Amino acid sequence: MIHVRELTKIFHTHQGQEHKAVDGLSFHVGPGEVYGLLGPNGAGKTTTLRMLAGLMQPSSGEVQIDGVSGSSDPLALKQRTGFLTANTGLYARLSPRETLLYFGQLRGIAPPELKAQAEQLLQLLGIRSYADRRCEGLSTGEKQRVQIARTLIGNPPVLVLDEPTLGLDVLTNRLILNFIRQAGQAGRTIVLSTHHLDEVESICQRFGLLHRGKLLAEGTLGELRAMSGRERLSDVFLTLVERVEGQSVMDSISLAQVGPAPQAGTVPLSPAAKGSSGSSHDLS
Amino acid sequence: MISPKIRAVLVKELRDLLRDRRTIFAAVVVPLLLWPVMMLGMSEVAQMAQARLEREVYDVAIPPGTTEFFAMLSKLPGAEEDSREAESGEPAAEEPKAGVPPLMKKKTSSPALNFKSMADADAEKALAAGAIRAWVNLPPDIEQLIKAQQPAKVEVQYDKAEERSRQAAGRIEKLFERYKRHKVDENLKSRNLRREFLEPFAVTLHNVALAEKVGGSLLGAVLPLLFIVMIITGSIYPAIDMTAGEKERSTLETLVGMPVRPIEIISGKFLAVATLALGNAALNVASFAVTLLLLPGLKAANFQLPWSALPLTLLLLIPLALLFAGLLLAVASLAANQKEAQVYCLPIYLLPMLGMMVVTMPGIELEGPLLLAPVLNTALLIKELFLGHGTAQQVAFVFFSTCLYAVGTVALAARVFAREEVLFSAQGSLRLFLKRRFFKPALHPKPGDALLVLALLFPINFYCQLALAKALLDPAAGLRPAQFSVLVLVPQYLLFLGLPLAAAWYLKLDFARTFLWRKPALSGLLGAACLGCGSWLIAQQLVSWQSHFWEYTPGDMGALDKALVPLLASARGKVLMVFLIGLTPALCEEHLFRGFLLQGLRSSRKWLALLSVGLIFGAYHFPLFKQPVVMLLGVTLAYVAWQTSSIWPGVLFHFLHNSLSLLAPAALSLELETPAAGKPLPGVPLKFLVPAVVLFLAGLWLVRRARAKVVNVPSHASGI
Repeated sequence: MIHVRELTKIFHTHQGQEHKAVDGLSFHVGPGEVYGLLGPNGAGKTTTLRMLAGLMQPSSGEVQIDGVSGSSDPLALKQRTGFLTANTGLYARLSPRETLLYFGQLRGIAPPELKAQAEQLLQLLGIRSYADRRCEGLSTGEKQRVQIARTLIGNPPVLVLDEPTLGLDVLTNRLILNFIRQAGQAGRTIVLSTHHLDEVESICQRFGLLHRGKLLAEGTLGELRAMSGRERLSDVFLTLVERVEGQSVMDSISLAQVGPAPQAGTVPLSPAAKGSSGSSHDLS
Repeated sequence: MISPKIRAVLVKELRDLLRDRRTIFAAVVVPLLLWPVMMLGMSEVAQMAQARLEREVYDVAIPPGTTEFFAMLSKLPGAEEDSREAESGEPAAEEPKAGVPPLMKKKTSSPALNFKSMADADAEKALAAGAIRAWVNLPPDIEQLIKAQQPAKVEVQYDKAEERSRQAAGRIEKLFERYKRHKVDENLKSRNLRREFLEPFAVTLHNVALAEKVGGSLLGAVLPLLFIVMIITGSIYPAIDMTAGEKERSTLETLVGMPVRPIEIISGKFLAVATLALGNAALNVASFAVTLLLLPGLKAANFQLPWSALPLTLLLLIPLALLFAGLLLAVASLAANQKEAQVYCLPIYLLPMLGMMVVTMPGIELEGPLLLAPVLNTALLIKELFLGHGTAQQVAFVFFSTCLYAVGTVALAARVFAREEVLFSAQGSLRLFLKRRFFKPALHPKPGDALLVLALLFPINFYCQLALAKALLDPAAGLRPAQFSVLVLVPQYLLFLGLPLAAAWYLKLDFARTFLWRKPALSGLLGAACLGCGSWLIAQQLVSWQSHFWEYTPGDMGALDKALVPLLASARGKVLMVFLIGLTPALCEEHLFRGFLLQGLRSSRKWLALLSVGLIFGAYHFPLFKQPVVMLLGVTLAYVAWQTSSIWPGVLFHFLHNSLSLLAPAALSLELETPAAGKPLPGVPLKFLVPAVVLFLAGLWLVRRARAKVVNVPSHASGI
């Protein structure tokens, strides 16, 4: 379903220097698979997912979804993809129903079908009671439901979810995780990124561990455990990083935290700044 | 006409904005309240202030011993009429000055002056301190001096910086004028002479301007700026909200993740901004007009709105609103947040100020370089229209050029919007946006790039030709081959060929694809040759038909055509002219219009692209009279390039058309000479026209067959 080949993204800083945010990344996600792209801040997750969703063009390499190349036909790629992040906003002065209809029109859905789809999503996600209130007056949880409905309108076969639970409260967090689980069970192909590793252990079928723009390791949870000899996903990750870096992980992490400036094109958010629950399994 | 996705963006943006109280306030409440409050209020305040000044009694210092003299002056008959004109000295019935509401000039009378006897030193001090308003210095024995017919000097000291002092001085002056007249009358009477002895005739000024023209001159000075400021006021907030605002609220990422082209998103937003801007301008104008109508005393002041100018003015405002909408969107898109966008948009406010300075300058007219000066040309033309002037040529120039600039700004906005550095950067992105090394190679230009280059080239070409003509042409000396060569070669090779080549290099385009440098099919070349051999006669016939209902005036181009005749007399001259008029435009214009522009528009529907190329090609060819036929030729040339996927058949067609138009009439003994102004142009005899039409149709048929199988490689990146 999703083929990523030698994907590279180079950003140019204002000083004219080049920075490789994603460096020769290749992976494959099968139909109906839920794939977790894991890594600390600055690993290149957001940039990778933006290229998967057609928001950014790769400097080299290629993304193919359902046989469609993002470089040659970005619109067809976007047509097959629903993109969701925790920090994207809603149009404050539109109602949830208007929001769904608007995004449905942008996806080119014919009016009668669009109306039926919107009503179905409003019903499915329990939005109907506030479907005609303006989004500015909704609670965070209500807004997230609308975001999910917005992602699903047009029934895209692939969902690209970038840190979908970042900064959300416990209840909304659970809502999103349930949505991902159900969407996966419903046969959608999902790629999601997170640094809350414990959250996704039970949701994803396979994982790609991303570090400094490169894929460190890839496999099912069992394969990764066997590879590293560690049980918890976060420990798996730290062990694998240590092997590559040849130094203490704690050193490398502290260096990562104080060292390079946030890259252009990434979302430099830390859980502390966003009031995260601060799980011990967090990598940042 | 509008695609469903553009319509969706337009409707959403309008709905979103109209639900915002800030928009409603700026777009509806402000114009509805501003003009009545400002104009009626200002008028009231001005009247009250004026009335108070006129009612006031002013203290005036006079030399000791002259009290009786001044008492006598005040009692002279005619004080009432004089006092009405006292303070400004202008006749009461004079027409109101432009830009000043007539009511503010209404006067009431009060001649009161309070004379105080003072020594010179005291009077000087009192005047400086403001205790008195003026000081009259005259010989105490002035009456005797006058009687003895000796020179008598009256000096009035006053403070010009003080309104009250000016008023007092005016009243004193009138008082003495009246006294002088009285004395003259006495002298005349004593010598038994009539007043006509001194004043053999009288001059009276009568204003023949219609009330509408008076209104026009008043409004023409005010309205252009008013319209422009209101269009910007109406556009600026929505433009910032829809671009930088979306970035700030993190909704832009979702929007660009949809399967919509950036040009569709920006077009929808652009139409929304333009709609609001125009609505705002119309509301402001309506509010302004109604307020003017409601102002009491307008009829008495010979004032009427020039309704006849309104339709054309509104027509001119449409491209202007589009221009500002595109410009503001492009500029605001570059900003990372709304605050930054406000700073970026600030200079755009300065443009109308500049426009106002030009419009209000006396003697400035819409001609020469001003015809194409963006914004200023519209401002000047609106002024002309309100005065009952303005030609079709001027309207066409201003309308077309503003339309092209508007297209350019939208193309620029789309280009900004399509750049991910601009969309995702949290910092100012202008440098990243312009640096060539960040561009990705592409096969051919995007529509936005192509239109932007054409929009930029339009004024550059105009000014370049104007400057060259001014520097080289001397009407008295006639046209020399060297001068004519420079006039043709510089714009053609430097601009029409050089600029698109430079743009293709800058944008990292594939030259062969962009300029269709490929070998054509033989049928394509044959077809083009047939078209070129037939088209020049058909074009001549079309122009002739057109001249029956559209009067042809040769103008500058006619003079140029005549100047070329001697050059065609010699064989050497003919070769030179074929090179200059036949080959050069064929090569250069084809690269620009059928290469860069048409390939840029290739992603749109075939006939839309062909028509657009034809229209723009025509717009570049002045005079206006020739444009319809040139547009048709442009469409045909675009069709040839589209069908053959090669630039060369079009070059051949263009070369034959131009060269034959130049040389063939003489060879075929055709009488196609330019007639005198006002007469229809001669038609083409049927014995020539019929074969020409047959050749032309055969050419079309051959070109249609030449449709090469070109693999359409989709453009890299999200093409706009």
